[in-house]
Amino acid sequence: MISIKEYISPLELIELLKPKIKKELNQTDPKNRDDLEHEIILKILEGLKTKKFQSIPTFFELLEKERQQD
Amino acid sequence: MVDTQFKNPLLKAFLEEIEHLELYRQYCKSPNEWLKKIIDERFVQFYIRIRAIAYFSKIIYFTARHFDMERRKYEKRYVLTLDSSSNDGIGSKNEGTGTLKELIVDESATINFHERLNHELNQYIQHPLLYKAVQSLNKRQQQILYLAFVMNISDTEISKKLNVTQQAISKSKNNALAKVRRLINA
Repeated sequence: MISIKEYISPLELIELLKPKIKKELNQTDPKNRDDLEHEIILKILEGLKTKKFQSIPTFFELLEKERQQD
Repeated sequence: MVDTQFKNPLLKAFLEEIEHLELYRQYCKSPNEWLKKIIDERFVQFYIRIRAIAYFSKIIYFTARHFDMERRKYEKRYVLTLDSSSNDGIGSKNEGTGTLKELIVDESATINFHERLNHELNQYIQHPLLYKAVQSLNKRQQQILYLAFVMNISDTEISKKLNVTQQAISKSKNNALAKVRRLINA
């Protein structure tokens, strides 16, 4: 189990997700956009705190698989 | 020559960055534990960002949907919310501060500009017989006739102004007109 927060800082994550957030903001009412943005950022930070990925393949595992397929 | 043509999209994307590719080339030339460790570390960093973006994109999507749904539910439930801004936020932000409730007209407000001028019905009458007839009406009937014919206000609005029923206004207006007609014809 690997938790994301050890690898990505909250600011970097939000920066990475900016385009997606903007896209979703466009589909709502102009007057609600600020509220929705706060809501989304809150959810991201909550997720960052708790989310863990089960297994992460290493580079050389993937390399091995690729070789086997050939 | 190092083979960097991979089918696996993850490997492909990873090696598209020159820094990663350089590391990998060095490793192929001279495999050692230290380089392997660096490459693995870089790959975990790279991989976690991709997974995180995919994961949080879904979260953002569902948060937005959920948010819209809640908003619609709220607006449907509280249709008469007068606090909502009156121009839907389309205008410039400085103009958008007014709310719907500020646009409601207080129909019982009794004093307005025309009444301030304190005009009376008899100032509008030229015909001497009619003038005399109107003078014989009481103050209230004169006021009603003034509002109805000079100000051109409907019975219902007059009734709200004077705080009586519309039927009462209609009745005393008709009485006043009948009396005036009788006096003129006499």
